[in-house]
Amino acid sequence: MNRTSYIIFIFLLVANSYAQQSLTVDYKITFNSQKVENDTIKKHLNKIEDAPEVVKTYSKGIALLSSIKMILNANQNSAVFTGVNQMDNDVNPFESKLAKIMSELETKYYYNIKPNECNKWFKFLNKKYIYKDSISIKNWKITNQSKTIDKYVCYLATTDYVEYVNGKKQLHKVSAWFAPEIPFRFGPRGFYNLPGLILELNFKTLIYTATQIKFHKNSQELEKVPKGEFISKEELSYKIAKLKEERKNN
Amino acid sequence: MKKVLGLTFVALFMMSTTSSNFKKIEDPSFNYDHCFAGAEGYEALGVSLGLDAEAAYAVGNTYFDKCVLEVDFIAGSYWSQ
Repeated sequence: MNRTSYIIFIFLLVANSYAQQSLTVDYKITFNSQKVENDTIKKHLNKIEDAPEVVKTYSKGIALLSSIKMILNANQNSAVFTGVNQMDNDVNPFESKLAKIMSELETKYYYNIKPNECNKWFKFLNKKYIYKDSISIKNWKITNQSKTIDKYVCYLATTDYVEYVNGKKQLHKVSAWFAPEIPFRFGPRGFYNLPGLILELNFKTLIYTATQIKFHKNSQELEKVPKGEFISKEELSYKIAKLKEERKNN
Repeated sequence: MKKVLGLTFVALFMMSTTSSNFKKIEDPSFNYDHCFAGAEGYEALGVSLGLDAEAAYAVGNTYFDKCVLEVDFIAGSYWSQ
């Protein structure tokens, strides 16, 4: 039996005998400057006192990420991922906005296993949108690597994150450490459908790490997807390109 | 990618050489050139720091709106005297 089959077997065994019907997971977000590809910007981030003002401002926004908590509420077949603002009221408004945008604080992800879909509800320039996506287990590549996170043995899986910039498709590698012992197939930021809860997600320069897991005997009542205009990633990238052009011409 | 990086450096340079985002009080004008450059700088840096394109644009736009308000306030205060 190969490693992947073994992991799925453990997951199914645990899932069938699992008494807990739902859970709540708190995640913290940290910034991984090692993932910044531009060496000049990396140097500036490491020696912030000599950095240009724009880098200093971003750095302050990044520091505020520690004041943001992300929460996953999950039943067996559905879940919601969103954020909680724990920033002080006297924080600089622009830096606070930076932190909120970087963390997707006001964005919500609604997951369903049956049918397989994830609805990302978000605001862009004060308008509400929904982006629909789905990830199947086949989209994940489960590796042999394992590590322990908070007493749970976790395995590493990777997948590609698709983004459109100026209408062009870009792929980013995302890695997730998931625990088959916790048979809830959900995780942060729209990533799900691994045979176990994602306890750590590496998404571009951000690391989402589970800090607390609370199990509940009963299912939770999860909020439904709010209203919004459906949009694809491609359409959004064209909209942004058009807005940039309009700003230049005004 | 090269264009984005080039833009980043132009924006970073411009922002580090201007002493302030505020226009001098002796020469107030409703000139938003530095607001456009600043917005592009924030967007380009945001992408380099890992933001999605729409998030980077939102940051740039937030900066742009803030900058325009500051220009309007200073120039408006001067000319309304």
